[in-house]
Amino acid sequence: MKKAATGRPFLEVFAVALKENYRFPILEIFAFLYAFGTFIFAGLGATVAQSSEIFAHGLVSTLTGIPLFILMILIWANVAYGLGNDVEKGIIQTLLSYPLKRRAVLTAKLLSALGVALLLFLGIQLLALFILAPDIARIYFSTISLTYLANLSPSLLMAGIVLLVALILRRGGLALVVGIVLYFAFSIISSMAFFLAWTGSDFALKAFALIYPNMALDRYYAGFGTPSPFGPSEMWTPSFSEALGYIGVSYVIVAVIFLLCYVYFDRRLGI
Amino acid sequence: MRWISLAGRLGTVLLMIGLALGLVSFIPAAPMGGFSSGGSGSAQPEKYQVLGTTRTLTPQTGLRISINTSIETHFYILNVFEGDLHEWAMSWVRERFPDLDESAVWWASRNVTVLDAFLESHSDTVLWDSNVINDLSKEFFPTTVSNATTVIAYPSLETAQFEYEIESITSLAPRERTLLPAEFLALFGLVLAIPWIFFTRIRKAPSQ
Repeated sequence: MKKAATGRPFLEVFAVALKENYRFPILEIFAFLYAFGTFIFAGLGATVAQSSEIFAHGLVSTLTGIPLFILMILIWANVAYGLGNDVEKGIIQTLLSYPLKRRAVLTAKLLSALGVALLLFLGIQLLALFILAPDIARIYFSTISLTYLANLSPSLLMAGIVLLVALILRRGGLALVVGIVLYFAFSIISSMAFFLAWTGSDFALKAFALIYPNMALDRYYAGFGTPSPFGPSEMWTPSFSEALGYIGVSYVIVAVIFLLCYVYFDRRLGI
Repeated sequence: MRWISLAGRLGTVLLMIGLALGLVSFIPAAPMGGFSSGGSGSAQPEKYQVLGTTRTLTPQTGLRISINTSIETHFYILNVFEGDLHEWAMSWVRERFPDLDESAVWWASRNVTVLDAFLESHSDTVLWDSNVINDLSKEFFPTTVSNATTVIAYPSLETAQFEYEIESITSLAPRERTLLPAEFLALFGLVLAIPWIFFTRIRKAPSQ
């Protein structure tokens, strides 16, 4: 009975959030960009492959390139402008008046902001994979899933940080700027860590792989078969279980950031 | 009304994905420089021969094949190294005809019957089979990473004249795989979107 009583307000808040985040034709434009971008930027870099498994990993890595940036734009818009502006302008008070716990309100908002965006992204990506390389997608589904897990972790981390900043500063615009700065900082740090590893110090690469685990997975697959002509052969190559460990740790970090968001929203928001 | 809205928005999203796929399917495959072979000549009756060399293909790198023959032939793309195919054919002949000398074994291993025996015992290696053809023009993309060897077989008793050209090509998404899903998604999306468009856009208009 209690479940039914909280279920309906939850759906109401979720529906309101959906309507706010995906006004016609925002979702349609992003769906088109995801689908078109996925194919346009798909895998020509992954065409020279030593095995189907490496090809599967390489294809997913290239498939996620630009569409992942499009996903980030959608998430920033939903989290920073959507939720951030709701907090900034006090609109969130209307949602808090529903007979729901604060964390349920945040969950409904995040389900709309992140869940739907991720669902659209992954749906189109998997469709593209099954169209492009059906046999590889079927046989190496675990490799593909793992590569997606590794690729999505930094995006979720950035989304969590943007959310935390939006909640603490109560400024949607500023949170958006933080998100954009973080995105480019990640790219720069990634290149620097790789360059340092080239010069013989693996520490930066290993440390960065904790929040960017696809780097560990990339290095694991680079160690597969014949050595890559790019980079010294003695560069850090983790084992499969180590790569899995890096992915696991990155999701623990993501979970901690979102937990902080929930705690702040629940107890410290002061609305 | 909410269900109509939900289905309608789902429909418009599917329609947009279908349109994007349709647009991608019109981007033609491009040749990969330096990976082409071709030629012409006459082929012995009841023999087969390998055209070009074995190439590594992926779902995005395929072959553009063009063949013209004077008699009906069979064309195959096999997921096997050329050397392995010849080795298997030679050992198959040696097992059945132990008295033949090496040059006779080599000549007999090029018989169509030997190729048929290979295809029967290695049916999983057949990536594509043309059936009986005179002219062929095709773009082929495998669904997985493959070592493609192109083989032409002449089951006829006459000597055949042929011309062929095989070149490696690359494509973002092969048209034969994208066009059907694009049509299906666009159509399904349109069906879902029509009630929503009718109720929210057309019927609403007069009252505004």
